[in-house]
Amino acid sequence: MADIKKTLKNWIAFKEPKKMEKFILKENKGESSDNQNNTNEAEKAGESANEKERENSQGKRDSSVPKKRGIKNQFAPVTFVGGSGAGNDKKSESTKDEDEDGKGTVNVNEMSKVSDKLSDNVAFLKKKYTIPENADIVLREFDIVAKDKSIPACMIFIDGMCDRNIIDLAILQPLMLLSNIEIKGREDEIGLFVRNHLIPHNQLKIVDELSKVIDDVNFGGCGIFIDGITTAFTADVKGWQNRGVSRPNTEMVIRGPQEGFNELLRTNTGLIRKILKDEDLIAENISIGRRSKTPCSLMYIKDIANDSLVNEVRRRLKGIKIDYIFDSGELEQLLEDNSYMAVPQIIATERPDRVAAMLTEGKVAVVVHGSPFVLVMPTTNIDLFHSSEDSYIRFPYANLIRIIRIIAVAMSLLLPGLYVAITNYHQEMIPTDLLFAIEASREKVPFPSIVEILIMEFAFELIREAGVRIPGPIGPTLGIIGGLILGQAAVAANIVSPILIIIVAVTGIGSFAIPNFGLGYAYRILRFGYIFLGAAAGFLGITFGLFVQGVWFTSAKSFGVPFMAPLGPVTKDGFADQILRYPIWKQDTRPDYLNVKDVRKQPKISRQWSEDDNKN
Amino acid sequence: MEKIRFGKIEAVFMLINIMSIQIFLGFPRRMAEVGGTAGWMVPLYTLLLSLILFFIISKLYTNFEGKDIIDIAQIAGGTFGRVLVGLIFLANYFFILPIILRMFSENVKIFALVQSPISFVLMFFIIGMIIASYLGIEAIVRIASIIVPIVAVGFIVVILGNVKYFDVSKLLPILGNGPYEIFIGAIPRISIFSGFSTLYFIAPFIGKNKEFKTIGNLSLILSGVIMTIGALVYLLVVPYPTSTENLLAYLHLARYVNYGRFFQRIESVFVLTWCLAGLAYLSVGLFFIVYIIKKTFSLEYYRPLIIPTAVILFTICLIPQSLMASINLEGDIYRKYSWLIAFILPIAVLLLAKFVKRKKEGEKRYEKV
Repeated sequence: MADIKKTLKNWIAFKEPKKMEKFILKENKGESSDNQNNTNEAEKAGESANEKERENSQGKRDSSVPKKRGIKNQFAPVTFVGGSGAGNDKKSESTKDEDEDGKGTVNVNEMSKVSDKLSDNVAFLKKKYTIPENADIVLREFDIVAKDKSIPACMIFIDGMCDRNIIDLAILQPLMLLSNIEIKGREDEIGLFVRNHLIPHNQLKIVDELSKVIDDVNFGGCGIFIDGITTAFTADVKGWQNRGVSRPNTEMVIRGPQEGFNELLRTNTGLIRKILKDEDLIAENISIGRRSKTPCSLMYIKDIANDSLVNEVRRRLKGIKIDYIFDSGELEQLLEDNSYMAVPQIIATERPDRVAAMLTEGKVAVVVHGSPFVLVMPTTNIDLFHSSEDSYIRFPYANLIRIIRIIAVAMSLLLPGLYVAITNYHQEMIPTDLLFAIEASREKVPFPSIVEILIMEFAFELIREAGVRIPGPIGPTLGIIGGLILGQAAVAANIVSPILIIIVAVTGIGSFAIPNFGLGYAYRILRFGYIFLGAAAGFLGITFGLFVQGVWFTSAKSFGVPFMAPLGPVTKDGFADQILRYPIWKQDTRPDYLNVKDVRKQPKISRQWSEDDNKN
Repeated sequence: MEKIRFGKIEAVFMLINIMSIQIFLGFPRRMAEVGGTAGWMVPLYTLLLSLILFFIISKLYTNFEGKDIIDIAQIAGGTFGRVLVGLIFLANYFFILPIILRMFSENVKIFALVQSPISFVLMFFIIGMIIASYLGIEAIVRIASIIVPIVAVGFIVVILGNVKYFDVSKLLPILGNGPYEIFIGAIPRISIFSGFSTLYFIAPFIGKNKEFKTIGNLSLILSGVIMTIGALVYLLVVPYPTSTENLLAYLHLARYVNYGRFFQRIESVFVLTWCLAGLAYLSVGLFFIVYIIKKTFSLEYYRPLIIPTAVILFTICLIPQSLMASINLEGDIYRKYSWLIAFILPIAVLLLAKFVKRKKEGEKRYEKV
């Protein structure tokens, strides 16, 4: 009853209208003094966020400890570690001293810092990783001989994620064998001695928090614990199987690099750095997902990108509270301004050269581990129509391709709707001969034209969707055969008219010409809207649809940038590379709507040789 | 309301759209009625007059940078002044907007959707207006700056398509109905620029005085030129007195475009582009009605007012008995007297406000002493 009242109240009572303006991209004046403050705040924010994450993970640990045990497990033996030895039947393969250390063992549930007793650390690790049920965790105990002392130590790593050769050569071998060699060193403290002389590995960290060890081990590191010191070491020994750098699947170009991103974070950031050898290119580490702890990298060029934009992206990334995140597609949906908007507001691309080009314009990129698609933001409507090949081919060819693309997009959106509108309401527009042809073909069809179109569009979408899922060589063949045979059969059966087949085919081909995947989907949905509007009110309906779509897009923003810039708000110097492209030596400035720090890309005369020619 | 800002080009395009939209409706026929074969001189002449009036207004506006006419009325006459001026402008917009809406719908009904009831056609316009007003003036102005160039291209295509029917002898006698009719009798016809009054309401969104002047002058000049060309082309193609009979002149001109068997009877495409311009105009109109209500009565929100206002407009729109009745209302009443509201009222309000301000400053100085 209370729910019904609440619902009614929500419907009837006045509600304060929602704020439309969400984030404003700051302008450049007076930003230099704010630079330092912003970066300091960002660092502090980063540190406090890290602390919060640590608390979160501890909280997760605490909350997960008193687990409900199902009825089957109620009668199973409980393995207690390092305390009451009741029911301790299973023996782990490596440790023998845990039973000996019955007295004075600390409760492993409460441990957060590395203990100076190796047995406590081992007990904690066994509890934490559920060893030995968790079969791919390896806990190796060994002895180090250092300065005539034999010190017990242990190492933990996850088999399958680590490179065993590196572990053997760079960690176990020096610690177990080479520690006998006379080393000239003065460190009295064992920890420092081991770090400075005994582990010749290039990425070694000293940590004292157990959660940090866990995090590193979970992502392909190994943790080293030594008896007698309250710090542990973690080494980055990642070595898992992965797909190499191959061609991009979705964005094929003829002229241009043929490398695409793969699923590894560092490989992807490496590919971008390989193109932009700029020390001002910053790659900040951010971890998203409470359980998956997916590492992401926020990349931008420090002295071009607008600071408020970078801060806003960082703020949104850090403000995501979610358990697991698997792909950059999910991250895109969590970051975008308006989820109900038909078109994407963030570009996802598989090509490093495209990401590099957009970074040099002043945009921000987010690389997600495990996904070959990198997100770049902000974007405008016109950016969604660009492909990287436009910059690599010559000026006349690029402009021709752009014009064809615009026509293709317009056709994919409007052609079916226009056909319905013209045949139902505006027959006088059709030239007489064509009118005869259309009428002759439509004479035998029992359905009105809108039903025809809906049948054919639906069939086309079915074929498209089915073609994606069929494996191997049958997939594309099915598309062609399905299209041809179904279409031909439908015409022969007088279900649809032949003209309609042409229209649907041209529409489909036009939609494949759209470079951006998300935009193609968006126009597939909007096309149905235009079909209904065209059937309802002819050209007036189409006009209404265009107007509403136009107003919807112009009111949208992507990270503070108006979506239809530079057409919507007409911005200065905005047209160098938007609808049509100027020759490359004329593209002097970066787009103004991003409020970048350094507007000039190249001097007025970027081909110095032409000046010298004139002088000579 | 959130901080709204827009640039010069957008404001100019919006104002051009508001003032020039009449070309596609009843304006050419009215000019033929007023001036005969010299009807094209009327917009040119009234442009000069309105430029002079705007010069006076912009000079007076220098003291009130960034304020709209309602704020200035508040300074001039307190709450009573504000409410009075607000109500006068509201009456102004509530009169013209339903008429234009009706004319556009009849336009579409006559040429495209012949069998549909008028309310069905009106629904499309009204729903478009509601959605656009809900999304705010920034979105409307931006879409206007995309639509106006497209409509301009359509306009030029119609003109170029009619070039083969141009006949300069249709412009003779050169002074048409006589110099008295043109130069004295057409003075009230400054009202063709009455859409200019929206400039006083976008002053806070523009900010600086210099830009205010530039926008005003540029939009007046461009609209005046466009309307002169519009009237001229119509008079070159259709001879007097037939030119006084075509209610929707440019649609007839679009029908005359005929190049071979393929490129003929394309007026439907032009109906499409002109409806886009019409939707932009109507959305601006609805937004400003709601905005004026908000400012006049010092309300906090304007969005809840959109749907009720749209319903009222819809109702008023259906009051005239036919297209001819609404054209009559527009031509004989609105376009004869609205210049008083668009130009004379702001001058009066500005003068009064200046006087009141000077008096108050004088008193302050007196108090200090």
